[in-house]
Amino acid sequence: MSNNVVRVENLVKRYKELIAVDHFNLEIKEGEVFGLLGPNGSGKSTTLHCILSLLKYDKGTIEVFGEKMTENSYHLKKDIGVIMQNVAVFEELTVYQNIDYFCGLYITDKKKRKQYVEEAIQFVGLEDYKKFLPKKLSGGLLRRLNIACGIAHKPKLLIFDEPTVAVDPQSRNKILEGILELNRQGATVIYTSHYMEEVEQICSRIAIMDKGKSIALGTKEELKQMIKNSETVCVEKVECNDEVIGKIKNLKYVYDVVYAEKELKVCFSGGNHNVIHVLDLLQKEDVPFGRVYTELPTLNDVFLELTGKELRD
Amino acid sequence: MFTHLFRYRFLSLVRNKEVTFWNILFPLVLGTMFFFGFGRFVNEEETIDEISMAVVEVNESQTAIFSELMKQLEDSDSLFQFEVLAKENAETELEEGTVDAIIVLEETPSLIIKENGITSSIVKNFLDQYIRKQAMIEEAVLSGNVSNIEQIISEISQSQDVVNEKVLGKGNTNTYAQYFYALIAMCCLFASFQGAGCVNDIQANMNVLAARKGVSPVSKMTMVIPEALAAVSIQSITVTVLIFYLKYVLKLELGEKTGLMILTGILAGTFGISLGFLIGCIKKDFDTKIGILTAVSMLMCFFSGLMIVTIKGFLEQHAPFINRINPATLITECFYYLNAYDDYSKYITNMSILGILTIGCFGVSIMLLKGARYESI
Ligand SMILES: Nc1ncnc2c1ncn2[C@@H]1O[C@H](COP(=O)(O)OP(=O)(O)OP(=O)(O)O)[C@@H](O)[C@H]1O
Ligand SMILES: [Mg+2]
Repeated sequence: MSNNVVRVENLVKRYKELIAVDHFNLEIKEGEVFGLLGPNGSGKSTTLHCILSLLKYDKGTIEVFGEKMTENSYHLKKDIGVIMQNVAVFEELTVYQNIDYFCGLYITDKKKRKQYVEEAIQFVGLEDYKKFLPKKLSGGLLRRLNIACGIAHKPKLLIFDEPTVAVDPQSRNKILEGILELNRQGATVIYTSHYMEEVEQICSRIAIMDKGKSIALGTKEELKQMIKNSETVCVEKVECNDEVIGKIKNLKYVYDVVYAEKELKVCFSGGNHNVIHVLDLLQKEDVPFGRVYTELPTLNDVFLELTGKELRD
Repeated sequence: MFTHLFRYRFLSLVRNKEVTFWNILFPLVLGTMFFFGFGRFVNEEETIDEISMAVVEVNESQTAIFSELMKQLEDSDSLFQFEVLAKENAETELEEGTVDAIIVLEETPSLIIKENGITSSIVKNFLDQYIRKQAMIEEAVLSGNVSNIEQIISEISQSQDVVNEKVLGKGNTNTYAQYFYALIAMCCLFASFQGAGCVNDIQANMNVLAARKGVSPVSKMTMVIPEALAAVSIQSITVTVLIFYLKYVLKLELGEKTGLMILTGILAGTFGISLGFLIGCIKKDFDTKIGILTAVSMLMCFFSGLMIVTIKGFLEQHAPFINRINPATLITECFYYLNAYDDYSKYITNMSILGILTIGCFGVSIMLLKGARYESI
């Protein structure tokens, strides 16, 4: 008996010719906030749909709560909350009724349900909109309703498929904090997104997906250690000649120098006082310079180095 | 779970604008339009006390038989007045309006009329009956069985009286009432769209809501049954409102048996929903399903004679089983039988066939729905 909440082994899913998920492996432990990061079309939603047994898949095994997940695993589905990428609410029902409908699919006890629905409404901050029909809600509020419908029954496993698309930064932060709160209350979370900032902000472990494959897996620190770059020092408004650039290239840990339009970027693969070394050298050579700053690697850099392309569209 | 699902499906159907329009308002509006178009004839009190016909004698054996019938009818103080004339004279009289129609007794008797109307349809009906029974009469003549001839002729003249009574206001089976029966039938077949909606909303590859429901711990069957019943309830209310509206607001004379008419409407609506279920299971996108459904119900209505009245008779001759299983025909006939006959046997037969079709459609759909998983969403 493992404490894996979800285990996916060698999952393969094809849409005719296209391989949407390609020998994908995943293990999610109890209590984690697990991030699935990947650009559009990398197969995140498809993977989730397979895990939920909504889709047929060509190969692989999927276990949820330690049991094989099938279409009819209703006892497993009972403990899962799903927030779909596309908003799934009834146009004809009000905010309250929508949440109550979905909650009622899981919770039959009326009193308990009423309480849960109220809590969910509070959780997403829709108290003032209870009687609104979805079409009267703004895009962001609609997303929040979508979330409330998925979490109201207090599931043990929560699956979010890009829940924050089209949500303003303020609401987005609220949602992210909410997800962390649910996690503190005991839910295991799977969170997919193509926003690396979000994933970095809340996920304890992250898998990076591209073209249906998992290309990297680990904590954000681990992921960042997977790549050569540890720090990039940038210097603005600087006049360098080839001689100076040559000297910079010879500094310890430097593996790449880019100089363009009077801006200098020096990439390091380790070391602790890299900025000082660069500035020392510039001063010694009497080179004037403007603003100086350093960049730590982001998940985008990880993605860039592993795939040769940017994560952002 | 049952009441939960039923309640919310009911609520969202009632609040759905398309459902309210097509299923509730549209039949009422159409009924009102029919009413102003020709509905006043349905209640027409005016009776026709006499129809005069010119008879042109061409074929001898025809003349012999027909004159027997003429005698019988004139004795039995029926509507018909006959006058034997030469063809030219008959035509002038028809032109002047002194006679309503000319019957030409050729080998197959034919009819000349000036304009279409209630009178001419009665005459047509009469002659059709006569031609149909003609073979029997000839046989009787050949075998010299006079009592037989008398019996057949009196059958024709009697049935003629029944028809006259019905057509002329006392009964309820006039042509115009048929339009309203067809309207109710159409309203019931419209329920199929709701049925298709029900099924569509539990097929995860059809829309996000269905996918969302698909990940919940409620099986498709648990989900679909209360939802179907919600649709049936709405349809039942709709058809009841429609029948009440036609009968008590527009005051159309559609028959006395309101209760049974509503029952027929409910079964017919349930059939409509089951048809929607079946077509909803086809692996196509929703618009295609709706297209197929529209085509199928139109075809049914067409074969039931909604557009071309004679089509039903044509089928009766060449492919009678189509009339026996065409739901649109079955439904309109049910209303007709209810009000034309005191005997329920034909009504019960039709209702039973409709019931069997309904169960069949539901059954096949359930088999198709069960255990379906999807290649793509
Ligand atoms: N129903 C479908 N039929 C055919 N191909 C599909 C279908 N759904 C998805 N795909 C393809 O499968 C691949 C993976 O799609 P998926 O939706 O899983 O990506 P995603 O990572 O969720 O992307 P996004 O960030 O845009 O949501 C894409 O190339 C997509 O075009
Ligand atoms: Mg997606």
